Amino acid sequence: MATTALDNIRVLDISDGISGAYCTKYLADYGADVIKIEEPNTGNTTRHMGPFFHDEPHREKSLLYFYLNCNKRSVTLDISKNTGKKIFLELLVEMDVLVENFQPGYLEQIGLTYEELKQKFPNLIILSLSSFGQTGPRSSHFGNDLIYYAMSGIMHISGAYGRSPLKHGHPQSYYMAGMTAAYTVTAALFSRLTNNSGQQIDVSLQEVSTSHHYNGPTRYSYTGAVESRATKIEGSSFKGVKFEGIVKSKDGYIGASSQQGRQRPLFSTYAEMLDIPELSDEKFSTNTGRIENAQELDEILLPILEQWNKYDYFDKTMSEGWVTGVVQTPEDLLNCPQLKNREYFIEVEHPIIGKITIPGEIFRLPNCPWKFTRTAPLLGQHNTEIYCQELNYNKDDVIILRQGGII
Amino acid sequence: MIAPGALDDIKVLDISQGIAGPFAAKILADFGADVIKVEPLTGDFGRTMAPFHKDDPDIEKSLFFLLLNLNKRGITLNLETSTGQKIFKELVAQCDVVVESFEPGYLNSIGLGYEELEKINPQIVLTSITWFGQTGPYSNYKGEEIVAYAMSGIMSISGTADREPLKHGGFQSQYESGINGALSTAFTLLMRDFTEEGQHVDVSIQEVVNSTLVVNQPFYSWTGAVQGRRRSEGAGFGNVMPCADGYFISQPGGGATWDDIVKFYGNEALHEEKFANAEQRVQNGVEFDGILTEATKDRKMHEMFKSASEDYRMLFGIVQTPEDLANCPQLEARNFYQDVDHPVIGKIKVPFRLFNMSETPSQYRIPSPTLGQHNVEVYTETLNYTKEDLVKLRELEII
Amino acid sequence: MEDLLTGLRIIDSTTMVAMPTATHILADMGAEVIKIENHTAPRSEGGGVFLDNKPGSKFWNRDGLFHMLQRSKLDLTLNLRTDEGQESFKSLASISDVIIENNRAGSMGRLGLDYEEIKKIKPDIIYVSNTGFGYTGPWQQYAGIGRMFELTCGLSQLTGYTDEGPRRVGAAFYDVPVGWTAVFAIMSALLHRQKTGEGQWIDFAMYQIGVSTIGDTILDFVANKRNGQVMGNAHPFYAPHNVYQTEGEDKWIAIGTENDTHWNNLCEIMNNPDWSQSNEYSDSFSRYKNREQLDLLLSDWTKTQNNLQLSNLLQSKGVPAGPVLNSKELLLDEHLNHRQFYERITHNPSDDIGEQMYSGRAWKMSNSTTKIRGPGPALGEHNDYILSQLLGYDEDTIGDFYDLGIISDEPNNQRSSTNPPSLEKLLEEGTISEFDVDFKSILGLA
Repeated sequence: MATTALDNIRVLDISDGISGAYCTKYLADYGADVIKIEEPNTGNTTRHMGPFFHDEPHREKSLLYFYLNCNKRSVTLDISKNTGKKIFLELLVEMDVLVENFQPGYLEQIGLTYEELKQKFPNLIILSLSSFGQTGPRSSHFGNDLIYYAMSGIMHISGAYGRSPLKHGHPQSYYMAGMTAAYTVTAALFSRLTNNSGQQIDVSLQEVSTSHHYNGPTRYSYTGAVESRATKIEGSSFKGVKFEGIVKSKDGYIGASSQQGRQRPLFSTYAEMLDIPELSDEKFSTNTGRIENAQELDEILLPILEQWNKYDYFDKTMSEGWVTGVVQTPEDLLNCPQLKNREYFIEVEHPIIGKITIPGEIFRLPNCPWKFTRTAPLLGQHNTEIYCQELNYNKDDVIILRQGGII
Repeated sequence: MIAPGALDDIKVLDISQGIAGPFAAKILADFGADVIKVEPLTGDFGRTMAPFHKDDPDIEKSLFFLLLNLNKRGITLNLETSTGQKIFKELVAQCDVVVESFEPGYLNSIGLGYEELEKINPQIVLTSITWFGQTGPYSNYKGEEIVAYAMSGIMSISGTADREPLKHGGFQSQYESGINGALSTAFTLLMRDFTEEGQHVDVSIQEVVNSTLVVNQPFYSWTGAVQGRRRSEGAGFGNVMPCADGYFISQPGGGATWDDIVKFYGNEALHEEKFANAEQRVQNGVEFDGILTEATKDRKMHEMFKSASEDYRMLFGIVQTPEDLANCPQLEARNFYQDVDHPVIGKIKVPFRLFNMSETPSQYRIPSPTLGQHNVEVYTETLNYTKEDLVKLRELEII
Repeated sequence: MEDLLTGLRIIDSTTMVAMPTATHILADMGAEVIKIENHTAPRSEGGGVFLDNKPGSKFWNRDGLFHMLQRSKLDLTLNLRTDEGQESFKSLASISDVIIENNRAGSMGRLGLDYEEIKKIKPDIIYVSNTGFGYTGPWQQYAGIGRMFELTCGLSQLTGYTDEGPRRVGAAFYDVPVGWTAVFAIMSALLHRQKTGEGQWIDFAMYQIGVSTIGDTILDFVANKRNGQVMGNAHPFYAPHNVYQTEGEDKWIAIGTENDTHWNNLCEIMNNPDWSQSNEYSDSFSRYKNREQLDLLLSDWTKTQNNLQLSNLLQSKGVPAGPVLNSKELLLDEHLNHRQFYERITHNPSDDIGEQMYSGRAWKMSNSTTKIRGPGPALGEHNDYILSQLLGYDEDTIGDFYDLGIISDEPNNQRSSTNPPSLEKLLEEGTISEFDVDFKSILGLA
């Protein structure tokens, strides 16, 4: 049986929400033993976030929770109670990594400090996710995906000129933070091999989002220019909806572009490929020229593109070395021949949802591959297993703990 | 074939938690009422009460919860939110009874007190079961089984004189209050047939237990005497006595003469003058106890019970264990037990029949609900929400 | 405090954005990252950013975007189409831990520098080959770039104004996350190597990484046959939760309420206007149902407010809020400066740039130093160091290499110096919304 990269790593994940869960998904998918701690009785908030299986809003039927938490085990524990805190510290003894996303200050409030954790567990890697970081004037502020997008600089440059700024229609900032957290954990684990030292890693979700948009700040610090959303004339702007952005095809939408590999050849080369001689005119040859003559360019180009089927355009242009895109729907992705070849989708079975196809291998790591080992846990599914086998409680203890609302 | 129920056309919202309130609502359900149990998103705290099926402390496996919530449908609703309060009022408009056990003042504080509910539905019966009642200086005191026992007077006369007072094992005060809750609700519904008005029913657990002490209260008010606890030994027939395989208790009287009793115990010494009456049996208590213990040390309790009851017509009781009760021929013959099939626990036999009625007996219809099991059914059929609305309500943590 | 990755040597034979992001993070963490450049191909990816918008002489060493992406690294030019170039590469590989390349599938093989060849000289090498879609499958030769991946990975299907079709954002969104995942992959491979002594070849595709971030949306199709739709900035169940225009030119605030308490505090700040007390908005579900009207009413009020002041006020009452910030505001932001998110780096005098600010990282470690080690390297800046100190080549050999064009410190394929459009022109087009002539003093750049 092949080993996995992180199969000797133990992670305790007491985070709630998407970012911590996506971080520990990366870790669990590549072999780490991840134990989630969830609130007794209700569990993570993601258990009551849609989409739900057949729109049945039951805590074991959230497809979001399911997707984020395969390969993990779950216990319930209320660490705001003294006994809960004590058990939390007992669990940490065997752990390599702790992932948490408490509001800065919360742990102090309930009588646990980072200093205490670092003292008791000097080799522990503590991954702390927060909206704005553990330090600084905004550290106590509240954030969510909309706020991170707004404060990242991305929103200011997205959307149409003269309209409201625009964010992605999916809360990507949490997933991005999860990825960042995952890589920093592995770097700390690698470093710990030589210096045996733990770390507290302070990840700020606002800063994660800001990291996507380095172009703008660099442009300001070099030239004093502040980028805006799109050119006044949408037609041929780099960021506009039309050409170089997303344009209509016959059966959907495509990303047309005049970039070939790493180069930006003459626009006339693109025109040649699509057999539109009018576009080889000098006036369309520069970016500025295309903006100035946007209306004319659109009138020629867009109706032609609208005659293409999206995959025909994508395949033709991509196989000739151009870099284009196709707006794929979830259904398209499920039928994608490339993803099929990569064996990306797998079928698994969940005790309540039943058999279902899910996305699988995030990236290929042949000697220690991505692996599916178990479906997302039912709430507190592993209470007895973990508290009785890994800690020293017996079954009666577990019942008393439940009655007292500790688990 | 489901026979008609006495409360067939009654709709009940059970927002109580724990034992007393849920038991009251269950009794109504057993007799035909359509009871909708409304739980917070974390579930009734009764779900954390042991014993658990196979000792697995899962939210769906509390056997305590199972017993107290048979025959009810279950929904979740967060009454702490404005949306939750609004939806609750929509439900109240369609119901006859609300059973609750919150601390006095809580429902008022979230805009769901009796005055508010009455505005929405003048016929609503609000049955409140609390430790000390809705009014009075103790009404906001925290209560618990042992507190109710202590404050009701029963503890002062239970146990033995040489030791601390004793409460019954289990949660008797809350069961008794549940029964009182059910019967007071039924009376109010009966009244409502005439007056067409609802009422606020106020049950105090302390008072319920106190009201069972029919002897020791008049003891003081008529004679000035304060009843105490029994002696630990030599209390005549007063204490439970050991036998070969358990414990028993017997009393003089019933259908037995003293002769019968002496024959049952098989020791002529009991005919002596010093055991002739109650007072003397106490004065010579230690010796008396000794004779009984000796006489029964090799006798088994079920044999003694049968003999005492059938041959000698004595007042006789044995301390039955749960196993004894589960196998009790009398309870079997009375159809006391009910087979239940629960979606998580599976098939299980439970105590069920409180009493019989010839035309509208208590009926078992459905097991206790899993958390939020009937959300879709109730919210889409009784109210007008769509499945999509329910997804949003879940995401907003209202249901 | 020690570095995280002391002693690690990484060969970075990549271009574009995703892999250079991965390697600059590794370099910031203390690894020795050697960028292998092809001096026969142009350096900047089309349109650099230059101080005062003037490329200057040796513009190939003066592009701000290059410095941003390539900071902390060493630079070795090598013409890999020559025998000597290939030999040098292999010698360097034999003393390195990781190689990363992102050429078209098969290119490195044709040069005799693929995993199979390198494994012969360094059996435990970790060799990352990054492509858009992977080394197998019908799309194996297709190129991937960040801004197109939003479409192909399925994110654009969900993004856009509700009265229009799909859009993508103004940044090339998926480049940087692919870089992050690459760091994770490399670290995982190193941890595996530590346990087993094994290296491996990582066929690292961008495509699946992006698709994996919208797993829940895919499952919604699998289970419920819903195929995704654009939703503007709205939240699937909270309201009010949107961006609202505030006072000034193109100024906005994001207000993201999540419960009754946030709403009540917001109403209090607005002085409880009559409309806010009506049944349509007094509970969370009704607010969600009536969100469009609610957004209009709320923005009538926000139009009179300053976005930064209002967010601070809302935050003081526990309501999630934040201004929509532009690049200048980000660089000047008090909180980010306290966190030292932007690091100040002084350039080599020969580059005539002075002090500049660059995005650092979104995280800090308590027990290790992580920082930008230096600006992006000049072309061939470390040729001598690497060839003589690391590979032990003598002065004559190095001299020959220069003569033969195997290495260089000047680009062979010198495009006419790039001529960026004037700022006035960009302002007129609307590509930029404003510019400051005195930006250096505004930022306090030395």
